[in-house]
Amino acid sequence: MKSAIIDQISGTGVPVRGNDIDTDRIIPARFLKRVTFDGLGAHAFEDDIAAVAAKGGRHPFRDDKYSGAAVLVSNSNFGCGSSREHAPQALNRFGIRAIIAESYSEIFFGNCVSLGIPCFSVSHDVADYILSSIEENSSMVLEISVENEALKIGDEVIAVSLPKGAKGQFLDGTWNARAQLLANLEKVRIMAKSIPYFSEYQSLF
Amino acid sequence: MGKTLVQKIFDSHLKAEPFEGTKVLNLDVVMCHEITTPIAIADLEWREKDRVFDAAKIKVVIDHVTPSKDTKSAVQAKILREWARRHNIKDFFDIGENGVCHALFPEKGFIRPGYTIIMGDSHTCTHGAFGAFAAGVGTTDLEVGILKGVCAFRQPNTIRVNLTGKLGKGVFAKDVALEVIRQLTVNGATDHVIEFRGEVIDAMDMEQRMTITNMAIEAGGTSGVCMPDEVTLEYLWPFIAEEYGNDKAKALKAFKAWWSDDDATYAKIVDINVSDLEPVATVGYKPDQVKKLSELCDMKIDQVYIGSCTNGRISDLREAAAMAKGRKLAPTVRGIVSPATTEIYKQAMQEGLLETLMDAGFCVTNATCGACLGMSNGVLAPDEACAATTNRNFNGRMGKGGMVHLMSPAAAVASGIQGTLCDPRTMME
Repeated sequence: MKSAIIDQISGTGVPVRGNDIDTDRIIPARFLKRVTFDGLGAHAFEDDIAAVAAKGGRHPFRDDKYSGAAVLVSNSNFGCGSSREHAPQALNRFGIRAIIAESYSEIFFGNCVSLGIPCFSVSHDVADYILSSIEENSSMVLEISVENEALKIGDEVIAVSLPKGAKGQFLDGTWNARAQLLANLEKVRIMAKSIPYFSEYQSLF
Repeated sequence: MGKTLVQKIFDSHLKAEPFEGTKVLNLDVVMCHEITTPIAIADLEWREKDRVFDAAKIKVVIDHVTPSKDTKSAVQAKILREWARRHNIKDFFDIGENGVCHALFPEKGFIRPGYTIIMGDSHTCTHGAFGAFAAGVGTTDLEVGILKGVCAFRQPNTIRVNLTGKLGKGVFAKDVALEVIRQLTVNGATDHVIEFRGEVIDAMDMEQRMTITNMAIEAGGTSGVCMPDEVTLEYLWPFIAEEYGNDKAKALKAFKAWWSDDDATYAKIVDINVSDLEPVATVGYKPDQVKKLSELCDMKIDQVYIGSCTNGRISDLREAAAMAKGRKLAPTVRGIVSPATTEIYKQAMQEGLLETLMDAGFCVTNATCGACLGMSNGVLAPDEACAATTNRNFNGRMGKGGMVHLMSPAAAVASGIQGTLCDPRTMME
């Protein structure tokens, strides 16, 4: 079974500046005791948010001016460290539909492909330009085309890149290996109710 | 044109190439632990696909939080345990026989040169020490692996790191690993496999090699690999002698067929002479922030942690005990040692290592790795610092607000005795 084709993504951006933002920071290990990814969106960057708040600042993930953002923008080696899929799951559940950064850790990138979140690469200067543009005008809409590997902000069109394999998967709807191999989605909700971990224990998570 | 070890493994396991550069490989082993697998299991149940591709190729352990410390971790363990029983997975390791996955599975003889291995754990790269392609993946890829026995990869290029020279006093495999990461940086090997070669690797035992391949991911590497040689053969011999008709020459020939060809192409070749290396530790929140311990002697620590998939094996405990012998931890320092597997625990007990460490003031826990990522058994309070033999020093990794200094077991024990970071050579004959 094929999934939806992912080509056009548009929405406002959220700037998360910094190199080497690891998956422990995106979702701390204490959230790894859950047996479902549900609800993780509310905890994305939780410790960073608290640390920034303690210094009197506001983390972009808690800043109203970026609420509803669909595109996360960052610097190099985004998502390094632990392989936990909880990290991209948390971002996805927060509302992130695409990421633009200088580079990514390989495992994080692969997890994002499985979730249908294209991760585009740009140079350091371009990343900095996009970050600054969003910071200056947070309501600016970023329009991204997977097919054209292009980002449109305002009147400008900027080239963004995606490896061929991932691009092909997004454009022909085969990005979701799980959906392809395990197609049976219509029964998911009914089944969920009959499994003890999710009925008896659901209140715990 | 010659091929690298990893190219040979990709070629021999290729099932499909749906897009240029995306290769679907058949898997020899799928490893599972209780942190990342239960979500995959639950999802398979939801989809009425609660099956496994081959129960004999699935290896399962409860290792991160064991014994379970609260209801949530108990539920994770229960889901994994019941799943293993339901599918008749023989290689399932629970309390009483469990251990840290990347120490336990090699110890049980599950790894072979040329194998393809995945696990929902980024330190799966450890198993490349046997000349296998072993990579960490997310839960979705793990789920597909469990059901279908395949996984899609972008074929990585290889960076070759030639390690020459001779390790000096107080310098260990961990110091070499940290030096490699310092030179490559935390993303210098992203999308690449690191091939560790040279006389330094040749002279190392499998435990030391695993310490080095374990940390390939800290430079962003897909995996770290060593060429399977006589040392690999001796380690695996109890498990493979029958398979090769007790013929070591035959086995070695088969192992060497996996070696990278002399004319293989590398993305990059890095030469490092280890003779001048000094004992090192990390400062800061990135594993490439490495400094000489001799320059860090004024940094206070509150805890020493000896264990993990990097440095919790018997040779590490011997190294730690040798440093601890006849000494005491500073009164301001808590010491924790977690032998990486139940067998290592027993061996350390028989050799008197645990007694030595306990006499020095260490607490000995069961085999688990929860402290490394702040999940159990050794979490730091804010503003505390730990001299740790683990592999990650990310901000908050071992507990919110805590600082982790990565180093060798000897250096960690020396630091615990001193109460500050300490060059272990100052305490060696």
